Amino acid sequence: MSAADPSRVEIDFDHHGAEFRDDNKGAIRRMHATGCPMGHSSQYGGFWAFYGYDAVRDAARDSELFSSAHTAETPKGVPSVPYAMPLLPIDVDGEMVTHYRRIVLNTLSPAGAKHDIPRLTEICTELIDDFIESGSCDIVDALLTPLPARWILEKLNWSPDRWPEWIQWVHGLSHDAAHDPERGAWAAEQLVANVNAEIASRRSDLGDDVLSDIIRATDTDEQVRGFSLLLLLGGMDTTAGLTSNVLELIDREPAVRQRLIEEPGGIPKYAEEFLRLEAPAPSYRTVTDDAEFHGQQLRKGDRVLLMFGAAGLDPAIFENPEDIDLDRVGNRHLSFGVGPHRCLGSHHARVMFSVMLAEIIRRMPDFRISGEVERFESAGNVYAIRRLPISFTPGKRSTES
Amino acid sequence: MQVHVDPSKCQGHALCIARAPEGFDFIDLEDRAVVIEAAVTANSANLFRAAAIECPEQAIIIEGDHE
Repeated sequence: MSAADPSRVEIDFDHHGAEFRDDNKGAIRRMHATGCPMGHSSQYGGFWAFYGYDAVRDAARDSELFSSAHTAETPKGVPSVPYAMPLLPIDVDGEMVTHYRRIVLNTLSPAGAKHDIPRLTEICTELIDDFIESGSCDIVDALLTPLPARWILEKLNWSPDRWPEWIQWVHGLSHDAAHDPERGAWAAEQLVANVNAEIASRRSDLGDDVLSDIIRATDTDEQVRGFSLLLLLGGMDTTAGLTSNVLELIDREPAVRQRLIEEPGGIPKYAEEFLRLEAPAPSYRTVTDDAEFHGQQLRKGDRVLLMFGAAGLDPAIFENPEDIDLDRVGNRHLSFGVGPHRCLGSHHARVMFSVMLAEIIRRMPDFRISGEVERFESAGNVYAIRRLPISFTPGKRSTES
Repeated sequence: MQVHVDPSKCQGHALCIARAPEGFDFIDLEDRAVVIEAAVTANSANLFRAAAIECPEQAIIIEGDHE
């Protein structure tokens, strides 16, 4: 660790802490008020939080200065993650990123997302049918979590019925590890063991699915595992998180609800404003060399938190950044990141979010939050709600069971 | 009518794809959008106009649109 630069902006910030979880907009507002696009926190052995729009964008694009590599020698993350293997392609740099992304490009393309809309709508209908007559549910557990989870399991051609188990492990790693390392380690073990079992059985029975595509295009089990884990973590957790945050927003914004009821066809367009305001996930980088960057002196080995959600709330870029404006034009949010590691599942995320929101508005237009909203303890890796009890006027099932 | 995405302006927000999936494709490895040429017809002018308004970088260039 080098001596602190005297001009460095120090911020008292813990992205896994209760303050950020309970009032992330307030925490981000105070960061932007520093007038500096980044600040240094002494938590977790020291790290940089980048929150200014330009700094976040430029860092995400510059993979030479800001490495994504996660290795035993230079573990990534703040704090460093409890598993030894890199997730692919998010934890590698350069040509390898391109190589790995290419494997899933067709599946995860805009056309691939469009192709999946009927199936996603079918899953959505089925899930809502299970609770629509009761007039209440925990919408996270009943819809927001299982829909993306079942979708990614279908893509991998793993049993979609096992989603509750997978979710338990995925949440253990992404939500619990920062404050409960033991549970994080247990979740990582379970994930590795179960992914390994899926790979072993698929190797001898390749087919038309994403897991088979990955096996054909890679050399080792470790690569297949790293890629599969990324698809599970990215596929299962972030879209559910975004949608949970948005339902909480709609509950306190009657005008937004009314607009969605009157113009459900606008939901895919309005999704961008929801994405800007309720971005669930940041990203991590490691500085590769001493350098001056947006007015601050960075040192080789410095760890960086790229706050994509905070960039979307930068008052220098967005007028009244904390207000929801469904008619906002030119919404250049960075909620999917930017540069070589831009979110691989962004097209599907948009579609899944829009399908779920449209169906909730269509079938439960008067839903209200009816109990205590429980957020995941840490909002540092994924800002999301764990439990969101709602009540609504009971409706009819769409299909006979 | 001719439509193209200026590659020097496009920043890969992919809003055009979200807004008009029939009209644009995303080059993932280059983080940028392109126009699907076959989709540019007299009937699709509104679609491209809507996407052009939505583009944060004003990278969608429409030429010969006389409406």
